[in-house]
Amino acid sequence: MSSDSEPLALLRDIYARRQDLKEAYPEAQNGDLQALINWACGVLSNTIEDSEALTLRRYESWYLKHQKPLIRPVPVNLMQSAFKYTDKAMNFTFEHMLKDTDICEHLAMLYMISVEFNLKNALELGVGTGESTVALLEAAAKIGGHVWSIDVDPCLEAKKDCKV
Amino acid sequence: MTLVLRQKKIAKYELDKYWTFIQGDDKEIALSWNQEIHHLFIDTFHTYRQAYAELQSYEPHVVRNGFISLHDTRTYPEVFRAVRDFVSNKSKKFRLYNFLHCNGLTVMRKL
Repeated sequence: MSSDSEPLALLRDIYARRQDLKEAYPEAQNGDLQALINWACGVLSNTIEDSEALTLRRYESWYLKHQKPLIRPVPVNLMQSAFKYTDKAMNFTFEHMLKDTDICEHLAMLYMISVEFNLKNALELGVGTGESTVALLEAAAKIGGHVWSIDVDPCLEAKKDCKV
Repeated sequence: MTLVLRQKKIAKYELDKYWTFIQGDDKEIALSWNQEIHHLFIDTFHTYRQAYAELQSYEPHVVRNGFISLHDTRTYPEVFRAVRDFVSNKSKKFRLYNFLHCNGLTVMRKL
């Protein structure tokens, strides 16, 4: 088994002379080589056609062992910066999409179908944590619609608070 | 999170003027419901009976080309079973789309 330093040194060496890799994996310049390791695995498995395949083959078992699914952080600021150029941006919905809830990944869909199909009257059965409510309401605000939500929770005081 | 907090959240965004909250059992409220619905979203008790009853109660108010969406149709297959039985029993036609991520979302369009 190779030590960690040799396969990583080879990757760094390839990276240093390859502009395309620098553009594709800028985080590697700061020492985060995971995406580059995954790239090497892609080359070794012929998923990615690349002339470095033969060179990388020397440390194939190491690269394959260290391959990991990559979860890149959401570029929040970048995405939010685009909203000002659109007329029906999902600002509040986007905030809720970033939360780790059981419905966060569906909020954009709820918002999108409401806006794009002009679904003015929405009825929500079950408020839950209010995540879907925000998406439906923000869409309603953008298209001049209305949302009715029904929940068994009594919460009389809650209604009062809502109207503050 | 209590409903008080949920509603404060809505108020925070100043979206509450687009919102009517009705407290109660949706199956009872359905008896007097008279609004047409463009989008019915269901995420309540994840049982077959509940989901089927809600579809039965509110679908007639959904306009043609309107949408019905249900959350948790993957993690609670009984909810999806209710959807399947509902669409199979009706003379009305639906398009049906299943999203499997995040507990599952089923989106139906009433044709």
